[in-house]
Amino acid sequence: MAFIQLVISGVLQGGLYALIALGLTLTLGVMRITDLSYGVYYTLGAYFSFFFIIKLGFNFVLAGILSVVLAFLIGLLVERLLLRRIISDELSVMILTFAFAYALEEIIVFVWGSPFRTLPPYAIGTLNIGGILLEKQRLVSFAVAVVLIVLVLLFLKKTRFGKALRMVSQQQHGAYLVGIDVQLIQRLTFAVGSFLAASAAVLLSPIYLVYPAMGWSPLLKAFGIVILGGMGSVKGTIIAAFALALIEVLSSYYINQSLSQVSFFVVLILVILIRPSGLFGNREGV
Amino acid sequence: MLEVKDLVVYYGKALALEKVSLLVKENEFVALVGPNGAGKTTLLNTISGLLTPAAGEILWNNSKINGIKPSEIVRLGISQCPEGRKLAPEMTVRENLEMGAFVRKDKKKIAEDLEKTFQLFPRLKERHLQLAGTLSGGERQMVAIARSLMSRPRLLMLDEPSLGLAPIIKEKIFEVIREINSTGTTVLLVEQDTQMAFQFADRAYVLETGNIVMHDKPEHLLGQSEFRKAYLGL
Amino acid sequence: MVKRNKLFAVAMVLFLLVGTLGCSSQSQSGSGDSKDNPKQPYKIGLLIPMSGDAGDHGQIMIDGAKIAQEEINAAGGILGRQVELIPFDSAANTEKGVTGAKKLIEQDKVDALVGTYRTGVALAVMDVAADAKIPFLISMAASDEIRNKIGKDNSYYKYVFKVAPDVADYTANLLPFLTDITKAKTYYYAAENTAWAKQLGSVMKKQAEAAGIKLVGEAYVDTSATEFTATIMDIKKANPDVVVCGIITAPGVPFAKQYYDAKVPVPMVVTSGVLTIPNTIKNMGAQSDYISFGLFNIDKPITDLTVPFWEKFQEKYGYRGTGFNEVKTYDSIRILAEAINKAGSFDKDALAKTLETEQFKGLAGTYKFDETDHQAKWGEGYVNGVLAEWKDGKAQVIWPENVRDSALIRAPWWK
Repeated sequence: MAFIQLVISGVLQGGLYALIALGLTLTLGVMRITDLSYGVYYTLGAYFSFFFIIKLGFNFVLAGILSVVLAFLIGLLVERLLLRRIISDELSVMILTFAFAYALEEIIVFVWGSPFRTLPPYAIGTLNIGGILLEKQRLVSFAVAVVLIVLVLLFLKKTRFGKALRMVSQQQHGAYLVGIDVQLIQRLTFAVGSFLAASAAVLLSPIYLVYPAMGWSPLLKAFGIVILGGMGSVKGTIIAAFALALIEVLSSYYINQSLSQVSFFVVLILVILIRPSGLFGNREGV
Repeated sequence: MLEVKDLVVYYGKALALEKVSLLVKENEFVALVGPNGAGKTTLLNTISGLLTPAAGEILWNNSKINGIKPSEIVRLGISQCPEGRKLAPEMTVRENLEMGAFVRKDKKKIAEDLEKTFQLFPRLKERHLQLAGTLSGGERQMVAIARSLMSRPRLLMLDEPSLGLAPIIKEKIFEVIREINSTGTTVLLVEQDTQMAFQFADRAYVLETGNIVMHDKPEHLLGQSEFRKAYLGL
Repeated sequence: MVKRNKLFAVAMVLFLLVGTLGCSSQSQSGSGDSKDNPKQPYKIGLLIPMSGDAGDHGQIMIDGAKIAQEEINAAGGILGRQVELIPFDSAANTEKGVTGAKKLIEQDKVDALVGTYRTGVALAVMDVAADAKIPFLISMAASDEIRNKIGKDNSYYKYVFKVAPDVADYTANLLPFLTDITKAKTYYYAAENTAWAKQLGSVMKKQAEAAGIKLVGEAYVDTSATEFTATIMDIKKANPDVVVCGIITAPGVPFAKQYYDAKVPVPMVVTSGVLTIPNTIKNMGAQSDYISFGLFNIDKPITDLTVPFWEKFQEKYGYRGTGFNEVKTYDSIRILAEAINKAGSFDKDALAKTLETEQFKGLAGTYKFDETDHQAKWGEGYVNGVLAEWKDGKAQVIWPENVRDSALIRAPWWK
């Protein structure tokens, strides 16, 4: 019984980890950059929804949509104004995105102040199914996350833009030669990444806490997941996200609660030692 | 049709093309030969818009096209089948071919062309749902050529299409290229196997360390002893 | 290459900008020598976190300090000198704390230092202050390392006093919840995997055992944890009478929400931190109900200063205090002023003597410093805490009885 409860909790958490990591893996694959500012879009998503729900009194659906659309637009701007010029210089990208993340954190403190914020859950209560407890808020967030992930997968598989994105990720040179506007795809992918990070935050902010530095921990986890999954592999990323969540919840119950993060990184290091390219990194690309 | 005039290209800091001029006429089959590192790939990539020339110009039907985005070049009707195939390994054969038609919007005609392509390469039809990364070298080369045709180019530039292929497959590939040329597509072929290239080419250019050192009809070039010594080892 | 260098430069400029943004906004005064000239203001340097992971706390400290400043100045200042505050952003970071202390002492020529949120910063700044012979009142950093350090060499740390509660005071603050309110026999300790929470845990265990209460389980969760099924299941299995919660940073909120949703039949009491801050609770809805917590102060007549201060604070800043950061900063500044006024001179040795021997009134009770380790004493007649419980987003005081709003409000699902 305990095991079932733990696995279910882990799966619910895993869906949200997958959503967070998905954007990062797309950006990484398509742009070949280490974007240290990825967590910022998560933070922004949470603050936007806080602003729309608490300050302006919007309902959470409208607030959520506005938040992710804003994050998308900011992603477009950042790519165009900041990243485009330095995209080929890995070191500059890392420094700039890191500085940008810090600067934005300061801006958030300036605009919204530094106190911790919380959002009310939009699904209240708990389901009890034969002794297994399911928090409705986590269920709803998980369901929306899964829908978003499936939409992204379909989009990659079926649409012209999605295919072009995969092509750029797998074979940039070839993408240029068939006439794909690689820079445009990169810009849009970056914005889609921002959109996904923000949507994870919209789904998680009623569960967690909203504060300026909230984006760093998901950034770290997303990087761990992406590396475990094999850089840029969508399938690997999704599997690694669920693996992370399950490792966390199971190891904290059966081994030691303070080891939940350590266990994941131990697994990560072991996988990297055995398979340097990650679980699904044997071939490149999305 | 395509005219390259006094083209100077740097690759990073190194001078890759010193002052290259070249002409390809409508429906011609032109071969570009020369040793490794002579700048053949650089020339194709510059024509494709991937590299920006430092000086000189590229004319397409008498209008200047250097400095234009690669996607625009493809739209103008210049397609490149790159060295090393450059396929998307995690996409199916069919998807790779569809990507070749990325600049086109006419879905019906794309579907027709896909069918034509499958007639040209029946083997690809069998494997159209297989991931490109799992194909053999020869099959991958077929996909690469087929893909570069999917944009309906007027000029097809092929970069080392026979590299690393078994002789039988090599011959087959060249058959196909000849067929493509005979149905009205102009071909600019970069090839290491000079003998093979010369069987088909109307004219040939010899590029050495960033300079065109000779150009003529293949049979005339074959008549020159220094050419034979350098390129055929005879 | 040129382009790359330029971008590098831009990145570095951005970096520096970020670094300076954190502190530039705060220095409010010019330099200038302030000897004991009555016309010169009495400068107090405030070393507080305005950025970094504890950046949340800085503003409220300043807000508390300003009220102390106004009151002292309105009452004639410190022996006629007006109080001037010079805040510096220590970012809760030792290095910045030391730099800040040096800057405040050497450049701004402050007369005294107040502050530091983190123990590490306090321990480092103590030495800087002692070397410069500048009085330093530690307002918030709690670890017993501080008083131990003072106790070992109190002639060197002659001017360093600890207004902040000691670790043992944090847990002593919670103890009545177990002994008086719930009459618990057992408890479970759920905390963060940090040195601080572990220290709290071991002190708590000693105090609880002395009161005949047994620890039946403990969990130290990662500070980035967001999912607590394992913790909650472990609590249910251990079946304690009370859960003592030492999750004081960000994971406190998801933990409390999940704890509420799982209807764990055990009352929970939280030591300081995120779950005791009204701002956090504001939008948690019912999920904050039935969480009890220890506080160092609240708007109840604990001393005659307390209620007027809370009212003034609310009116002036439009938000409610937390009972700690603003209170301890206020008390520190007030004690400093009162001690100098009592000593009747700016002589530092006279100040140290007065601080060691006299008693001082603050918001949290009567401050009496230990003569050896300079720790403010805790308990009845000295500084004492409050226990409260969240209900409908409001803090209901449940202990001590003379100021309480109500008895413990029981959740329907508690055993």
